[in-house]
Amino acid sequence: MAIFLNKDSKVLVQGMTGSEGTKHTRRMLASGTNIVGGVNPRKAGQSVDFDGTEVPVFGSVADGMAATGADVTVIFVPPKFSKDAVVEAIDAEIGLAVVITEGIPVHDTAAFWAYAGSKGNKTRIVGPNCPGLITPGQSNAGIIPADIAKPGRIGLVSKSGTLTYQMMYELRDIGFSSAVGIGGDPIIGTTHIDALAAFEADPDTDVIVMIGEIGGDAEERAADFIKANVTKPVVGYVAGFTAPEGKTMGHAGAIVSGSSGTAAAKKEALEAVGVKVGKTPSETAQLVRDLF
Amino acid sequence: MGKDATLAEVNPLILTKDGRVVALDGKVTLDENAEFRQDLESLTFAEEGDPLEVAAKAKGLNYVKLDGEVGIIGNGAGLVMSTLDVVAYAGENHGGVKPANFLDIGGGASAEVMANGLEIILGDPAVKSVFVNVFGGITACDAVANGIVQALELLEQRGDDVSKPLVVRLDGNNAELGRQILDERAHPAVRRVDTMDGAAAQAAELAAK
Repeated sequence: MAIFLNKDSKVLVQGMTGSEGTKHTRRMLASGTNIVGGVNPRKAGQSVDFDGTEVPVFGSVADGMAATGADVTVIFVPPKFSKDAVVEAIDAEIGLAVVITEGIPVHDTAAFWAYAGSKGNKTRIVGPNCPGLITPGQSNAGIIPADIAKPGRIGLVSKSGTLTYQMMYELRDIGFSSAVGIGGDPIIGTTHIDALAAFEADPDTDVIVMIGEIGGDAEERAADFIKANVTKPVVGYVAGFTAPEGKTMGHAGAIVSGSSGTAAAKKEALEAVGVKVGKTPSETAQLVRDLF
Repeated sequence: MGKDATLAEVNPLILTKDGRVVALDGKVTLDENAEFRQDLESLTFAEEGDPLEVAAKAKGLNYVKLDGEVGIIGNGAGLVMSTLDVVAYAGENHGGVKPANFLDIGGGASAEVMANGLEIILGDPAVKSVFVNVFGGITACDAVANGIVQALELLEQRGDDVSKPLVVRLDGNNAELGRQILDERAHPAVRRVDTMDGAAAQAAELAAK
């Protein structure tokens, strides 16, 4: 089962012929992902050889879907062109668009986010500025190192890429059903709540790990959602207790504004609904370990 | 909207006794990611803030000055924020030392970026020790270890002082290889600790001395 992505997923890569796109397409293929094509209007009809695997290039997402039955697209297009790439994916009504690109203007993200809504949200957007998602042993849509952890029964959702890797590594022997990096931008597609709902419904997930960080109120809203809708145990971690007010800490969305968006408030909100929250990544991993 | 503003704030706005509404202060934040379509050069800004932050920005580094003693370098915004927290907790047992900065050198962690980062951090007179915390995900730890070694050599060639202790934690992809590179180089400033908690404790202890 797993969430959003499985062994039957057929994956397109928008921006496959760029340097990042090429590098990560090779890695995705090596981890067993069913990559069915790339998208580049200027190279339509060509194909790219990845260590013996020929991957065709299509002129558009719609063409790629028509030819291959693709249901996922991973987007490595540069920031300037990302909005058009996501809009194209939405117009093609592909089921899942994973936007890896970092540095997209927030007004552009707002535009494609709203556009997806106006088209009935037929396309689930993950990201932008995220590592993508992985269902270990089945499929990898993005840049999470595939060999970091084995398949298992933990579901993970995180704003941070490296904390995703860190947590998967700490718990690599228990393993993961799926891990979803939702990204640290101020506006994102798939949220903590979307992933929590999917993990709650997934029979292959027993324990959910939720990693948050300062800024916004996504963790507080997730806490409300957990209280009303999640029966599986949830373990949390929040980064940024020592972050000063008014400074952006790396991720565009990671900023404490006045007294809102603090790590302490998020931890408190999660603990109030019964989520165990670790003080450090290693303590968080231990809290998960105690549940198995 | 036209200028890709992410914030336009008037605060405070006052009503005077004679009935006039006056904006006493205002603030606008423009999205740096939108620079490619904005003519921001027509606006001139005085670089504000801490001189180290200004210097770091000029080098394209993602750096925030804080008021502690343990310099921090890591890869990935979330991991670096987490590192600050772990160091602050460790500092509670070592005279209350705190992290001196936030610095995310990103996924790549090349020698040049590492050298630029170390230069900024070692140039901060408040810094007593440095914690380099890297999780090798996409970037392999051997590449990061080589980056650290080359960065130290680069700084020494420039005549910079690199005697402040550097606690390095490498984990993840090719961690063993990376640790071996650090051990073989055996730079007198470098101490290798393999867990995040252990390395934070050592960096805090060194900063408290």
